[in-house]
Amino acid sequence: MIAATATRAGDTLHVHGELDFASVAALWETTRLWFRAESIRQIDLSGVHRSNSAGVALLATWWRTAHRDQQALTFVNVPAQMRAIIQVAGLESILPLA
Amino acid sequence: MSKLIINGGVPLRGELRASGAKNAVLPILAATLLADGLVTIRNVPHLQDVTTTMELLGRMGVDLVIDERMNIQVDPRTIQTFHAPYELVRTMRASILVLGPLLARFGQAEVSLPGGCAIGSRPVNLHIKGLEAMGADIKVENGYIRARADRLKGAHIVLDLVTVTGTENLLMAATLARGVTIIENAAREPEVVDLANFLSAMGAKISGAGTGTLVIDGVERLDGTHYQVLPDRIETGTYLLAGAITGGRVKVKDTRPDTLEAVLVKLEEAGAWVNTGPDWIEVDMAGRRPKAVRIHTAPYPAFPTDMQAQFVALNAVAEGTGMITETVFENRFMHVQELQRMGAQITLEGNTAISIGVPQLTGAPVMATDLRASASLVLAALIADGDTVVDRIYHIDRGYDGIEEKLSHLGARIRRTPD
Repeated sequence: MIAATATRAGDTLHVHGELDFASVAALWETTRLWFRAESIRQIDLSGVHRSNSAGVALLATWWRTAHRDQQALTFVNVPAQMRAIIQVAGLESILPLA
Repeated sequence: MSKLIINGGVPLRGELRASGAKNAVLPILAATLLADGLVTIRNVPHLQDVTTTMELLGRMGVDLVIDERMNIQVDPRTIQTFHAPYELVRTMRASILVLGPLLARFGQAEVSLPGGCAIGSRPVNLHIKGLEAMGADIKVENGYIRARADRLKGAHIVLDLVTVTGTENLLMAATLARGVTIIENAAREPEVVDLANFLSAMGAKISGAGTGTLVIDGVERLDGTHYQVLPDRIETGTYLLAGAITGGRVKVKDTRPDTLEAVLVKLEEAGAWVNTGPDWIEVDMAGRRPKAVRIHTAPYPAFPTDMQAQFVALNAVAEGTGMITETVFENRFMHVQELQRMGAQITLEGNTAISIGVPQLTGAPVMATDLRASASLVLAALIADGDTVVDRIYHIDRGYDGIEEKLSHLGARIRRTPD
């Protein structure tokens, strides 16, 4: 069963499903190719129906990759559950949330 | 008493394999007490704390078999006593993790209070309050927690503070409780998730692992299982930092890059080139001196408190001024005084260590005061001019599997003096 998927439309990555320790490693391996091939400017998380701390770690990975390539990146439609974890971890000043 | 003697100045280069996570394997070993069958744990690190846990279980009568590859087979059905004595608990606070499983499975437990801790107050009252909410009758007397329960019952528990071992103890206890337990303000660390995965492999019904709310639907019994422990993210981070601090290139295999993101961000800020694959991380400093970084420790997935001391060592020799603020534990800067003895320019302002990087540290006799502090002294020694003698390395043996072998493999000049 695939718990999480990502689709690309232009410079936006749309993420769907559940982000947890089982799904984020595979999702990162899939999406890193897109980061390498062309710029991703926005990640839309409206399709994420559940996430744990691993999902927030994945946001940090995407941010680090974009930051390294000197690309602007914004996370949009961040679910409340993910925002709560981001806040507890003190990452709201680092992760660019719209 | 054994010491490590390190002659610094060699850029570390090469590859090594991450061991299993100490902070995952200890609760998992405690959780084997819940099983009504044989449990086999793989990827167990060779650590003093693992030996202590095995002694603790063995003294209770639990049958343990360990093979040459550090796979441990546990048969908890042979248990005879439910007692965790002071002489073991005082050497390893994680011994408290047997409290929940003993109470849930056997209805009784007598566990010594852990006592003082070098890195600050970590009270066990949250464990006790949570178990009482689940129906346990608990008395604290003569230095022991004495607990009894017919069968624990599900409860709604809100933890006042985020506590990893508290979350783990209550999670384990709830798996065999009657009804549903909800734990709010739960710890979200990967090792808590690994414990939940292990419990689920035995038949537990758990949702929400890695979030702030755990929901556990208690079951009648848990079965034996085979389980492989998560790689150690702190050990991985420490060796990556050893590469960065010495201007070298280190690749750690059999690890999980997604559990170490905040550390990788800071390594890049320090000027390291970082590359990752599905199960490996490589750091290359290409001979450059690191740049100083600013860090706030916080719960996962932010920067881990267990990597703070190692980055204090990096800032000590980095270009510029670095600041590291410890927000998780009090009194966790005991390595600073020892680093100052090696020539580091570090001042403490409350819970923040401010470092003005110096180009070179000098070797000195230093003393390890806790596990991660001792790792920072080893890192500093790797770049110091001359010999550094690190005393009281039993601390480092609690958390680093074969540290001198692994560092030697990367080219470090390090040896251990016999007892």
